[in-house]
Amino acid sequence: MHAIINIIKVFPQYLWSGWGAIASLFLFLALWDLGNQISGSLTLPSPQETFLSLWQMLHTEILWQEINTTVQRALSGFFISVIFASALGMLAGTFATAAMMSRPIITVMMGVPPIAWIVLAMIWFGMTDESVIFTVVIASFPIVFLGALQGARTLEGDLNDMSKSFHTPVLMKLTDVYFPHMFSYVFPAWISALGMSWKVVIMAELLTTPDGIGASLAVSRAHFDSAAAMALVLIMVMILLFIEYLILEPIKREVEQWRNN
Amino acid sequence: MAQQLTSNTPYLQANNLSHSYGPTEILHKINFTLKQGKVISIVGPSGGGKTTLLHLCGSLLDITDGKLINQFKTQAFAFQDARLLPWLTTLDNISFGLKARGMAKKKRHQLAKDMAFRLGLETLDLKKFPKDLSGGMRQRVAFARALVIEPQLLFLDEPFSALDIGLKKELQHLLMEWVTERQLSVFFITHDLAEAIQLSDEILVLDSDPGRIVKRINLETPPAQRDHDFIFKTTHKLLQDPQIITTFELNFATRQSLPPNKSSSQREII
Repeated sequence: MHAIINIIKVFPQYLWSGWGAIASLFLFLALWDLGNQISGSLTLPSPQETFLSLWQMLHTEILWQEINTTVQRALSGFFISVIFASALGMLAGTFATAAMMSRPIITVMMGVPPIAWIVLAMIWFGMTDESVIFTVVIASFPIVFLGALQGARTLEGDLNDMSKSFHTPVLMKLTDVYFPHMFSYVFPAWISALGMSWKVVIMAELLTTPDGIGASLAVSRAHFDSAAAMALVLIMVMILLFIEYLILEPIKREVEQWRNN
Repeated sequence: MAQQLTSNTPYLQANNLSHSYGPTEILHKINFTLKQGKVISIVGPSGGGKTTLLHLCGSLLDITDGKLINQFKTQAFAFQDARLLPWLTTLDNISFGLKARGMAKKKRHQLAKDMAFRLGLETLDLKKFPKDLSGGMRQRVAFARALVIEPQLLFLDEPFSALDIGLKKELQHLLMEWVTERQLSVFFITHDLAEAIQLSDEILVLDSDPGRIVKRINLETPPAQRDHDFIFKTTHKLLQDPQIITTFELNFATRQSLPPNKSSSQREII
């Protein structure tokens, strides 16, 4: 509770610190416009055209439905892999043999590019929601799994000896030693997995489903509507930035202020 | 030397304590008795099983061979590295042991605060996380955490070795105050012979492979009367001792080794 109040309290200050980022984004816009002037609107629509196209899109009902579909797919996949990968990773980290055996499998999983998983998913599940969600799960699973595994592997150690020396009760050991330790490994992994989910969901949609932002992107490519394509890219980036900087980052700052950085 | 203690004050006694990791014997038949208000130091080379012995005595390791009697009701540890929980503030770190005993938050924070001030920490430090404290500060916090639970027995695993001389003296002074005023018993591991001479009532020299006590030194001069001169002279004298020369491998120039002394240990009174 205290943490939540604290997050809200420092939020304006945190927002204020974003001016530097905004300045650099404007610089980026200037370069983009320069690119447009050199290459022409068909290859690279100007920021103005793009934002206009974006503005029009935002006023259509369909776009919001597409965003909704995509976010739902990404989040379902993300939550499935967070739940299973965290639990399995912790379990694997508790037993040395399981940790040893699961590592190569995870390496193989990470070695297969997401695009290959999409093809496999299309063969297994057809052009459905499941294909997309499956790909998201598969792509984000190893990241979370490794984080949880690493966290559990490092639980037993000096700090555990220390807490043992004070005859710490089991519940307190969980809340004061194990949980913060696990969280410090698992939380950054969740954040990377969320970013991964978001990228993969669009790629999977582009190839498999008739709806979602990915599918809209495919349509704009078919129509050679580069302004719409750019607008969609902007939407994707903005959603990711929104989740990452307005939701996750403030939480991270509060719960991880003990970290060295 | 399983001697019978007649008084009813608590004590820690090891009887033929041995320990092995797999086929390797780490400790071989260790015997000693630590009485209330006394300090026993274990000195010896690194890797000689000192920490294993401390873990056995402090029940961090299970005893497999031999016997240990620990009559002290409360005990605490201070390690060479402070071992603070990085996600807790100084105040919460100090009150960790009190929380483990189920003490209410307000009370444990008050006690922790008092102890922190006694150890030279300031109000500002109490809200800091370990990453924002210097090494010496962290060690103070670790000491505060151990002392705040008012242990009867304190296990120290080279807690002074990484500290600057001023802080070292300060903490040692505080420790001796607790030993004389509160009858604190201390089981102290060090590789610093001079430090052991300054603080202990009895020094046990632990040789390695396997760890065994090769010499016992009883210091009868009261700790308060041990000035620099005394410490210097005693250290000098002990460093001439053939047993100590072999144990600490100080004979690297000549490499004359004594016949191994496995069964008995010498006793010396200073």
